Amino acid sequence: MSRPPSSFRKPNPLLDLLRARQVRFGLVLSVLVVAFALLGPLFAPHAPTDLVGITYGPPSLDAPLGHDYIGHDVWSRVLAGGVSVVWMSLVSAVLALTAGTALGLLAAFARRRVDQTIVWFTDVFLAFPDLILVLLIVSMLGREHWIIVLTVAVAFAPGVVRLSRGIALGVVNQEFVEAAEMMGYPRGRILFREILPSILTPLLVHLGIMLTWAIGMLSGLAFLGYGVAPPAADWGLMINENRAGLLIQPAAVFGPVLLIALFALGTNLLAEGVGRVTSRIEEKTT
Amino acid sequence: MRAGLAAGGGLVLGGLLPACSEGGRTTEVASGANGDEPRRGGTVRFGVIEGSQAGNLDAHKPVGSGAFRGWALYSKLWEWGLDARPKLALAEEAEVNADATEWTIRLHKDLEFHHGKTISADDVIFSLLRLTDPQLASPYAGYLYSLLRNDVKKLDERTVRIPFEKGAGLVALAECWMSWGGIVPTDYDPVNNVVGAGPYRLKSFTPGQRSVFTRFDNYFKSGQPYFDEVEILDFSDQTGRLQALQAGQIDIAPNLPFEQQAFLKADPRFEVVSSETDVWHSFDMNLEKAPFDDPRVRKAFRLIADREELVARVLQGQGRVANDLYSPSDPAFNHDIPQRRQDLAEATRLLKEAGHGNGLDVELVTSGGAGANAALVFAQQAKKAGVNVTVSKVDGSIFTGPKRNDWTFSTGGSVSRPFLLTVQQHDGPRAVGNKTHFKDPRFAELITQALGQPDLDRRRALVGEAQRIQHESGGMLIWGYSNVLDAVSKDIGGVTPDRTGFAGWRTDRIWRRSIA
Repeated sequence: MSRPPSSFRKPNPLLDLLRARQVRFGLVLSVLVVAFALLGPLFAPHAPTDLVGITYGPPSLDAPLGHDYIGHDVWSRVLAGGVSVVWMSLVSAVLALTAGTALGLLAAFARRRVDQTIVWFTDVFLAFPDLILVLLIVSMLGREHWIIVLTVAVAFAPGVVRLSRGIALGVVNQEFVEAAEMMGYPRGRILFREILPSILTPLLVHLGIMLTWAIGMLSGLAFLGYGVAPPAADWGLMINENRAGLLIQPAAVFGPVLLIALFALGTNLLAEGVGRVTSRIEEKTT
Repeated sequence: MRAGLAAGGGLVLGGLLPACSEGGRTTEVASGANGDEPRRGGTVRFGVIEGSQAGNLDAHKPVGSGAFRGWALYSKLWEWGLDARPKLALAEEAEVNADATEWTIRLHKDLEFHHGKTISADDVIFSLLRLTDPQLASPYAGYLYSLLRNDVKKLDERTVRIPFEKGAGLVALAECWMSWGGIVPTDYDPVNNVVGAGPYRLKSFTPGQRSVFTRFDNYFKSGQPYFDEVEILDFSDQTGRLQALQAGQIDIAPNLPFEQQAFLKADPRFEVVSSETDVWHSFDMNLEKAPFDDPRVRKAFRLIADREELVARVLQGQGRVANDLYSPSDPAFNHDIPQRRQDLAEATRLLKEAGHGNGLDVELVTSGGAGANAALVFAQQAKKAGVNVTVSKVDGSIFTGPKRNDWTFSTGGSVSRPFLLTVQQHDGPRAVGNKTHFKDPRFAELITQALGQPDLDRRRALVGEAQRIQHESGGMLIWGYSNVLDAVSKDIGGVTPDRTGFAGWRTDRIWRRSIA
């Protein structure tokens, strides 16, 4: 892309975003938690499945967060238990976004029967509660990681379809799309090269929000015993494993709770912040 | 008159006389101290865990916390002694013939039901037939597999003759009866006419919530029970119950989870009564499936287990190491078999000999609770012998569902019961829950003989040999016996360590210290 010839400075959208305090805060928080989750396993003093202490042993110098329900080191498990939450929530949110956007654009562009069919299926899926749907599929098909990721994506996709179709409907009638159609471009190119870029910002904001939902849902699934299988470490699972000892060894529960909360908060602030900056809500007040 | 009944029943409950005469001191601290005698009056509230939000009052087919309520409502011919052995209760005398195919049972004189009717032989027969009625489908009916239902005979108003099939005598009738055989009147109905001869009579019952009972003054034990009223509250989770206990809404929380013991021990208002019991925990190996069809693999697995570590981690020290055998409190238990200990070198050698020198992958199926934790600890231990144990946790309804006896390797265990009952349930001939598919002809023969052998010394020889076979080639890796904990307010007396694990269930023995 060549530089614009005009004399005044074109604002850099990335810098604009970073100027907003909420975005900076959300970004730092998310990056920190992701870094903790990805690099944590390298710094863990013990393997997450090693039995090193007594059952519900209290925090000490050797074990800053104490020991858990059968004597694992909680600190090692917290360090090792974030990878699954991070990658699974990211992948399922991205999958939902990709599939949902493709369907939504297709519906908006093709109209008529294709549109009706897609909208009808979306409505049926939306009527079904997310978590129940995921629980149903996971309890039938098993708890392989990829099945969980896929079902969470399936549960979130209808929302993306509705959103992308709604915004795209306002774009498909514009002249540049009609021009592309007249020039005989293939449908795929029109959808993804002409329409998609104009509706990308709200979709990316939605991705961030879905990420927050996915973190909540995956942790919830792990807590209910349908996610990652013990003895593997996972933040959501750790909350469930150690909740019986909440009163005597609270660190084993509050460690993972805190990290899940920070991760969800970070992604949510980031997404909301980006949304506010791009829709220029803040500019009206300043 | 009723004092005479209690004495005749062989119920040695010394010192538990009515405490009306004892006026003075009520010490809140010392439990079971001298001068600490039962007092009459007041109320007590139990908090029990009822996950299903249901439950009933049926004497012969209890559902959920129904078994707990049964202890207040019903009396039996025999009852659980504190040593987990049967003691005569409503029965004054019980005789069995030489091959245990004919029992003659005589009731005490002038026993009464809650509604005033005298307990007669007809009621005993009615109760026995109701229990074994195929229509009722009680899960306990299977223990009386050789009962000749149609030939149960009333000899006189207080005497009944109970026959069993020839060659299949049942010396364990007393053990069976103390577990579930509540005596009910001939006009009994589990919903509309809930009448028994237990220490308390029903006042009200709301399934899944609460039940209230009032004292039965003509209870067969003289002077007992002590409370005017007993209330049983159902809780759906442990944390809720703990909070109710701390807030003073309940006085007794039976079967306390181990996690809560440290917390309650630190609270001066409560006492945690810990009872050593025969409650056992195991890993069950299916003899019909590879690799456990090879006795060397079974032995190797039994040598892999570090039982001390399992007891320390899973039972949090509240238990004892086991020797792959159940029912250690049974008088016939063979204590001469040496305790098996971890021996990784020997285990590795056996596995190599069995052709698993390059490692072995096994799936260990469990459904949660102590079993799941034990599975995870065992998986760590097995690594050291080159065995890769994958723990897979399935839903409780699947674990105990139609495939419950088909798992290759699964966690198991059961409550505190005498040997002849447990063997009938788990790995004996005709056992309904034979997860290990253990079918040794000599073992089956010994068990059948033991079931028909009333003489304890002769039975001890039979059971002793059977246990050697179990220990050598059986399919269960029984690693521990757990204690049962009951949290009790210090204002409540009479809850004492109890081999049966029912310390907190004995509504007829407990009383309130602060009653003047």
